[in-house]
Amino acid sequence: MAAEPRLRAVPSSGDPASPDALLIAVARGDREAFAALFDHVAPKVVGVARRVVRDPARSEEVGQEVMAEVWRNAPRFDPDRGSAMTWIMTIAHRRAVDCVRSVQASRNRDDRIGTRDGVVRPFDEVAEAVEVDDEHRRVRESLSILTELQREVIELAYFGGHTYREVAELLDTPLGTVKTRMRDGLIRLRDAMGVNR
Amino acid sequence: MSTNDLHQLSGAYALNALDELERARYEHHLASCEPCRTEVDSFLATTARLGELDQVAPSSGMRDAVLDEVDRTRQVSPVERRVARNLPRLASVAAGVLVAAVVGLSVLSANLAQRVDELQQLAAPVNEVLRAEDQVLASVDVETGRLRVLAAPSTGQGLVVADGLPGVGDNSVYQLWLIDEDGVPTSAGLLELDGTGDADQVMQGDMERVVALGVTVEPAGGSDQPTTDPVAVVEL
Repeated sequence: MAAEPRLRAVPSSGDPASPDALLIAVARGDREAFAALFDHVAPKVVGVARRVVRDPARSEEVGQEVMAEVWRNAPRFDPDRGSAMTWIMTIAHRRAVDCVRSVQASRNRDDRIGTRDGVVRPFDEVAEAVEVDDEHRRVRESLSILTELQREVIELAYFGGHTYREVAELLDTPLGTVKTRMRDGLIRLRDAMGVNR
Repeated sequence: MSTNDLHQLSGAYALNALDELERARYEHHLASCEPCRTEVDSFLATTARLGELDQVAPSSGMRDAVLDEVDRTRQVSPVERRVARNLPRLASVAAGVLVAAVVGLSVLSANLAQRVDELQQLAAPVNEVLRAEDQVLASVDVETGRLRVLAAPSTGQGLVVADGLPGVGDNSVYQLWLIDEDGVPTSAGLLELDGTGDADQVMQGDMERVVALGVTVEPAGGSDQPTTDPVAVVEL
């Protein structure tokens, strides 16, 4: 945990309704805990899928796969390596990215980039965002401390589902620079968010 | 790709911006690089916050479908979470030849288990190897570089990951050999290095009786039998 959790939403593991406590119960096969966990995290899972995949029906399919995977693999959740929310969002993002890449695998690479324009929708456009709280606002603000290039490479990769090679092409920037900006951008974001791991 | 370059991939990895093979390769690296593991964990906590920015209410149909699926789905068994911090140091066995210790399933499970079930849409052979029960991971240092093999004999397939192998010129190639318990080599194809001496490729062949993977330098196009002493032998 962060030494100074400046921005942490304080997921107290003592709280039986926290995702961490619920996931640990799910790991023991508790289906009621899973239903509660679903209600807590599914909007975020579907949210990140929608952002990356865009198509609403496909996003729900991805969300469904992710939640089933959360159930199946819960016994392997390792609290020492991160929070339940991080574990779940990591699965969700990877599934979403895999979905985008498999859908587009057959398309020509240039065509693909051209079609998608590399455009990442601005945050404000997401019509179905259901909750805008302080935590949300602070995360957005933390993006503003990045340099323009750091922000672009992170958004194209994370929200756009692009590989770093594609990002390099889209921004006409050397591969090495893209890799480095991704890393130092995340370091800066992490430190701004007060994330220690 | 040098180790230093691999360290630089932590950000791209956490953003899921690596392609499949780079991802698999980076996960190998993570197994032996504690600083990278720590950094990646912190990055994943960071990207998770980005992912939480958008929220979309799931349909009631999705909720019902998931809960129904859960009722019918068994959970995986917990795996040992012990993490292999370092691959064993490799011992020099003969001039120019280093033989790797077998690392085996324990490292693999520590290395990849948390990810394996998440790895979807991988190229089929990669996926098969990563999911096999009988994986063997071995590694050998070769002059300037390193050769790693992740084999799953039951699938007849293995992944070969080369990093920074020295060039052999236009008229020669590296050739892979599966060596059985009688010492008989069978070609497993050529190692296709890129300009920096790296390669990621799938190797196929009957591995039930294979005890080692050898690498020799052969004339361009390869040979039916090894014509030189191996530059590396990886015991499986």
